[in-house]
Amino acid sequence: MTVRMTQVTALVLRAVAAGHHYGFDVMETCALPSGTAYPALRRLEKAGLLRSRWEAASAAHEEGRPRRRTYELTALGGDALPTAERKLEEACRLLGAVPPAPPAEAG
Amino acid sequence: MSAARRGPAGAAGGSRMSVARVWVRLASLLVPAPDRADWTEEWLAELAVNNGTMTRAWGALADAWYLRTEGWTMDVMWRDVRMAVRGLIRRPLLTALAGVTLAVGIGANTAIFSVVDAVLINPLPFPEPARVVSYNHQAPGLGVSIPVIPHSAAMYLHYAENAKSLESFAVFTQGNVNLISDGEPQQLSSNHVTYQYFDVIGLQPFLGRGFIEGEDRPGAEPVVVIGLRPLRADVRR
Repeated sequence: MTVRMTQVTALVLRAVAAGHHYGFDVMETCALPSGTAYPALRRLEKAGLLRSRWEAASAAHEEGRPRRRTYELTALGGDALPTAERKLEEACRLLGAVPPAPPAEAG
Repeated sequence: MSAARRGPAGAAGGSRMSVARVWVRLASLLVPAPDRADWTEEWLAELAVNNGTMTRAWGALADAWYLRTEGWTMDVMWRDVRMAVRGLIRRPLLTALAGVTLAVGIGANTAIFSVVDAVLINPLPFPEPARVVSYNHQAPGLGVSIPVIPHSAAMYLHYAENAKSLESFAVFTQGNVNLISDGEPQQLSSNHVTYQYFDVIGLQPFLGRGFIEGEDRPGAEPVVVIGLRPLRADVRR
């Protein structure tokens, strides 16, 4: 199962690679509506570029919040990262802009 | 009085939050059953940790729809249709019952709407229909078996003279006349009317004139107003 690398999937993949592990963080970083960001995450996970798991409930409870699902890059996702970068650079070139700096590491 | 009254700001924030949660729970119905619990937990957790407004929750529907339609192809959909048809054939009684229920339901709705449309929505085809009244004679005290007593010419003259609250007044009988012209004779439906008929319905013929006083008396010259449809049919020939 492969995923078609669109600008949205490329953006989402790079956001996860840059350390945004939660769905809403990805969505905020990419400035995508949730109805676009989430299906992109699902596609990437199904294609094996991302892996999701639930964080430990105990750690979340200590912080007084429910546990959240986290997304991280797989080896396959790492391999696909250059393709994603090229896709984004191409989009920026088409728009006549300089490529933006990679998203900041999540604190 | 309620002891647990909340401030307006808190109440507004709380209700927005719960609207978003209800939205996510509704959207979760679309998610395929095996994934549903995880999916709902993920969305509710994200809403709880972040500021869970509708703006952010909106996409839950798109996400749920994506998961529901993932892997839908024409083949799969046709398989569903074929399976549904086979199921209907296997239970003909149930199918017939469902069909009859639908037919009766649609029929009853159409019938009721036809009446509502004619009575309430479409006005009568003449000006100021609210000022037009019709009446019938009844005599329940006399023990007469027929519900409507025929109207006599004498009663018409009596009313026409004495009913002061009516601007104009007419009676009519419906019937048929034979029209014999150059071509085939034809039968037309007709109304025999008293002279104020066109005043009552508030319309005048667009060619010639309506009836005038005296033309409905015995011995008067016969006069006729022909409707547009038979006139056209005759002229075309």
